[in-house]
Amino acid sequence: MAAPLLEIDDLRVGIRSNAAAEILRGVSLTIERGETLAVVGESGCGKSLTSLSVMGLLPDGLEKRGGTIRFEGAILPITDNEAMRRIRGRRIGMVFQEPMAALNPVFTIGDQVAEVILEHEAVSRADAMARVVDLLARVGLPDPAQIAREHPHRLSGGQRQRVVIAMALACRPDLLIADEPTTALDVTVQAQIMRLLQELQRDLGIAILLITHNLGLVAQVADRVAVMYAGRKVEEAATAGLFAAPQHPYTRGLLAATPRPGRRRAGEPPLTEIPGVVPSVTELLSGCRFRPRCAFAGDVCASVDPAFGGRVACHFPQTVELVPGVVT
Amino acid sequence: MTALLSVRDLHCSFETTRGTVHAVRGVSLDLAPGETLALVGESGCGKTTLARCILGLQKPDSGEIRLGGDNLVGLSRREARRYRPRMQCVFQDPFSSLNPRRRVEDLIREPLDVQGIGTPAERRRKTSELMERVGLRPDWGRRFPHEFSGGQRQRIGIARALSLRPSVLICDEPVSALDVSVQAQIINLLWELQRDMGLSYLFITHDLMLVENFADRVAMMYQGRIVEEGPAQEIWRNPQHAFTQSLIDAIPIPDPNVPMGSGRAAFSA
Repeated sequence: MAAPLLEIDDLRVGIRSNAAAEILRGVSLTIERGETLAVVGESGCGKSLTSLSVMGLLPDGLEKRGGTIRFEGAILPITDNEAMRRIRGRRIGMVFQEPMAALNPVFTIGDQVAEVILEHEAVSRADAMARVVDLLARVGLPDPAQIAREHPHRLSGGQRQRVVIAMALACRPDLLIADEPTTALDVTVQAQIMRLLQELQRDLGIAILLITHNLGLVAQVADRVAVMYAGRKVEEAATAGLFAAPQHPYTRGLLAATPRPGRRRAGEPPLTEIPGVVPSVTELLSGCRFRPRCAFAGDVCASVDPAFGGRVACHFPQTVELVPGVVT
Repeated sequence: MTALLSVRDLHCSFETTRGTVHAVRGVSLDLAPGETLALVGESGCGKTTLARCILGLQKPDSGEIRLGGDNLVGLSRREARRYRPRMQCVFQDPFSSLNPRRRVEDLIREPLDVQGIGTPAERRRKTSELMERVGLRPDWGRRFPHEFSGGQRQRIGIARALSLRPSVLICDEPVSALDVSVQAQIINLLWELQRDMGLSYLFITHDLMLVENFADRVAMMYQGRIVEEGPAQEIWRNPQHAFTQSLIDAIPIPDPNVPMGSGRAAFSA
């Protein structure tokens, strides 16, 4: 059997100045060709750090402590910046939350998209420019030849994100990492961008690693979902199964806390809370990191951090199906 | 219905280098005692400008803003200050709205100091009560804002807003910067405070799905105008205006059985 497109195995990342502080505590994820894997979780769970690791863009002050990342079976040299430059943009495309941060305000759109092609391929400038116009048309921008001549500030937020997607796809990558790609956009624009990503995926066969906090988007576009909490993957399942019968108490809490239409009951609090707060990276906590917030925790949870076994990392996985609108 | 806060035919425009921007174009709203009215729209629709006019932070071109019957438009700064205690606000980013160099107890007590309410000892006692009321430990009062998480900072902002016992809270995207589990905690806190203190909320947001779970009524704002208004669940189930329909259709429902673009059907699912 062919190797998975991307395989992250037991990835550990810590703070260089603090040997005890680990931000990614052994994350394993696999993405097959053409599929969409959503990684969800709240701020600080390590979902963005996981995607930055894949691209070899670990922030200053952090260090890889262990684990491997394989791309088509070969180990990704994520600490070798020169080697990663040849892979980023060509084999792995990236789309981030804030399109304006990914675009240089002093160059035209055409120059910036062409630069990606010229960086990775031996083509003439004129050929690159012709491909740019095709790409801009492909991501649904009207009058692409004109847009290629414009500077980023002339475009709306949604148009800018389309340009960033065109840049990410310029060299026909196999994997697109989309880290909160629509979080800064209005919801109507978000729907257009997500539809575009799905269309491009279908036509080009790219795999998408979608990093998001938005469970609505996950439900609509992901094939599989990995839920992260405090630097670990706590549950992974096919999308339908995860939403119908979440097993980890944190996944259940997250779904219960998410607003959805028609669940309101008169005289009751509008939403279901998860009590407490996420532990900080430097907080030393034995056993399961979710334990202080968990209604199902037992003695073993305080001493043994549960290993990930097939579906969940939990000593007491829950098996009762969720009935929509009813909180268990 | 006797409105506590009433806006009538409000207009507000700005001069920019590209000409006049007419941000609010004849808005009328009524907020009843103990009610939550959500003002929903996308970026640039004028919802924040409208909130700033109501709070007296922006001068409208014309129209009326009545609080308990008195028109606030055209009042001098000094006259307007008398109304401040009755209408307070909670902002989106609790960090940028809290002075980082002041201790939390001082931040919460500041409105009482400014308005000169009670003796210093009474103000301190009131501050501890407020902290407890919003779910903060009173012995955290000596700490600074950066020592708190986003959700706790929003609790500080709410305690500060409540210190003068207002009847109206203007909440401008108070939970948009928060994670979903923290959002639930803050929304439930606001709900409890309303139940116990009879507060009225004007809740400004882009998130129609959230307010379907929380608001009594919704006013949909589009290009400076209120284009549709009604009970929160009715708006979701049976939207009349094209803008509302397209917004609901664009909202991704957290249920894989509801396909993208069919949010209205989700209600009965």
